[in-house]
Amino acid sequence: METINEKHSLKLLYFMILLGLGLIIVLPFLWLLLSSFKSSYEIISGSNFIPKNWTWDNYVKVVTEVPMLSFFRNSVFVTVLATVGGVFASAMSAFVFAKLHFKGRDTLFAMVLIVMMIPSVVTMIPLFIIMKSAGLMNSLWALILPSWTGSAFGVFFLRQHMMSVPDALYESAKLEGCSPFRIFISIFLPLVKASLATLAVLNFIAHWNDLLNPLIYLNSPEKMTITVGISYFRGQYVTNYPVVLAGIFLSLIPTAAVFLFAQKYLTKGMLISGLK
Amino acid sequence: MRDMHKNADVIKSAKKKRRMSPDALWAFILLIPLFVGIGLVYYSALFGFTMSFTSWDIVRKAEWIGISNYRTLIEDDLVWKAMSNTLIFLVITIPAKIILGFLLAVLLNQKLRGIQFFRLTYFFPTACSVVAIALVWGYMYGADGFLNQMLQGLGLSKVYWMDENHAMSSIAIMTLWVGMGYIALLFLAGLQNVPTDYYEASRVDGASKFQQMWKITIPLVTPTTFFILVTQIITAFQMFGEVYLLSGPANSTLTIVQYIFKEAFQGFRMGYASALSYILIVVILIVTVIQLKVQKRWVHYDL
Repeated sequence: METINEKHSLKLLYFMILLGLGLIIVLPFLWLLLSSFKSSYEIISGSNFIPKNWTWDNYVKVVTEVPMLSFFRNSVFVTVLATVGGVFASAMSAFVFAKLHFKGRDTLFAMVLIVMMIPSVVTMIPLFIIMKSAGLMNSLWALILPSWTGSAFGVFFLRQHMMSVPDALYESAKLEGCSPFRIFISIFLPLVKASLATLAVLNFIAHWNDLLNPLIYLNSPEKMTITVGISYFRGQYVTNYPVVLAGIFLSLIPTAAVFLFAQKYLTKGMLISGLK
Repeated sequence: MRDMHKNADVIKSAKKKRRMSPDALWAFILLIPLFVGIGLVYYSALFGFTMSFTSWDIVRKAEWIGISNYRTLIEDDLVWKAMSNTLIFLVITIPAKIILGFLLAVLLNQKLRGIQFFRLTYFFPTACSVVAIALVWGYMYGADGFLNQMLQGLGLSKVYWMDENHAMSSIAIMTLWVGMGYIALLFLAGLQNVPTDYYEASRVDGASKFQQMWKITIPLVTPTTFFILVTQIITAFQMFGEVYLLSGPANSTLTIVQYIFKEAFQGFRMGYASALSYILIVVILIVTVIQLKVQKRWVHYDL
């Protein structure tokens, strides 16, 4: 048996290790923030962590010389529409598999999951051809529409929650003459709000951070989202890269906001998806 | 009397039949978005497969060339380079992620003050875009960048992080830094699922903490380990953003998806790119199936 002292020093050790690791995680972000206030001269010549001459220049430049605001607007547009549409589509399919009864339902469900778990590399080129034929090249809609079919994870995740809603609610609403669609919208969606929020947060993060798809479909700067935008313009700021750092920091603000807001939803979601 | 019962049954089953089909009809309607998604995947699989036997630059008509793309593929040095880069990356990062993630999870499972804060902090990098992470690390990895400045401040010599020999490892380190928290949270969920009875029973029998870890925790957490292994490998095979943004010299960081991207969207060799995509999918499929078969040997769902 350990003594109280041994237990305490062990806890202290754990805490110190966690603190040390935490510092390693935080350090690059700290460097990012501080360096975004340095001049290009300072970043190359100086070896100081904290800026000697604080300057807002980089932030001004990233908004005036680089169409950062336009990138933001595009990212918001794509992310919001893709997330709302995607969550709705997944929820609707989840509802069907959770409450509606028809022959072959469970087999179909299994098949759907399997098919949609195929790596996205499969659809990368064919989807591009489809979008091209549809005249959606360089259009933000090419990024939004594919997610309106729902996702395997989303359907699976939401179905779990929906199945725990008592069947009686569905049955009695049907007897009163409601169509399944109305039951879905008026009764079930409000009841699974927590899971919807979790899925929405995960989708938000995925779309906000998407690089590959904007890279494939967007070629003019005014259509670009933040990810490709920053990547596209960094070539102009090779020596003056604090400007790029400023842009990066700005792009992380919504991420951090959503992250903090959703922290209780995220950890719950992680637990569920980590469970077998 | 019996006739009355028979009639009641007939009426009941008639009612049931009338209730069955409307559900099926509605199911079909409400599932339309999903069917579109599935149709897309099927179509892509077929279309991509057919495309891989052609030479097509989108502008001109596609030209059937049989298995020529696949022959070229086998002799293409870049394909082998990309494969080996990806495998090296896999071998470095995945065991490290699992071990470090697990240890971190054990730490995060302790009842310490502010533990929730720590859990959030470690997870934050995963929520950031690959652009943010890769570019920041890219600047830190520069010859006169932050990391080298620190090393020189400590009296050590510079490291050429992004040169031909080190680029892939540097990217691996960055990926480890990002993914550690996410893996730890997954393990945390697995750890919290281990029934405490086992620990109590073993403590009564006089087991040490180390024995508990080795004989109880690690075996019972293997389902989570399996999930992590499978998903991480599939993700690693499709790595793109990191290497696109942080290209090492002389194709030292070329990955397969990056090569596919180059061929399809910069070289407009759709047929060849499709063939490459297919090979990748087949490789991923084989690896996943092998893992599924082997899991019976090492994954414990119960003690």
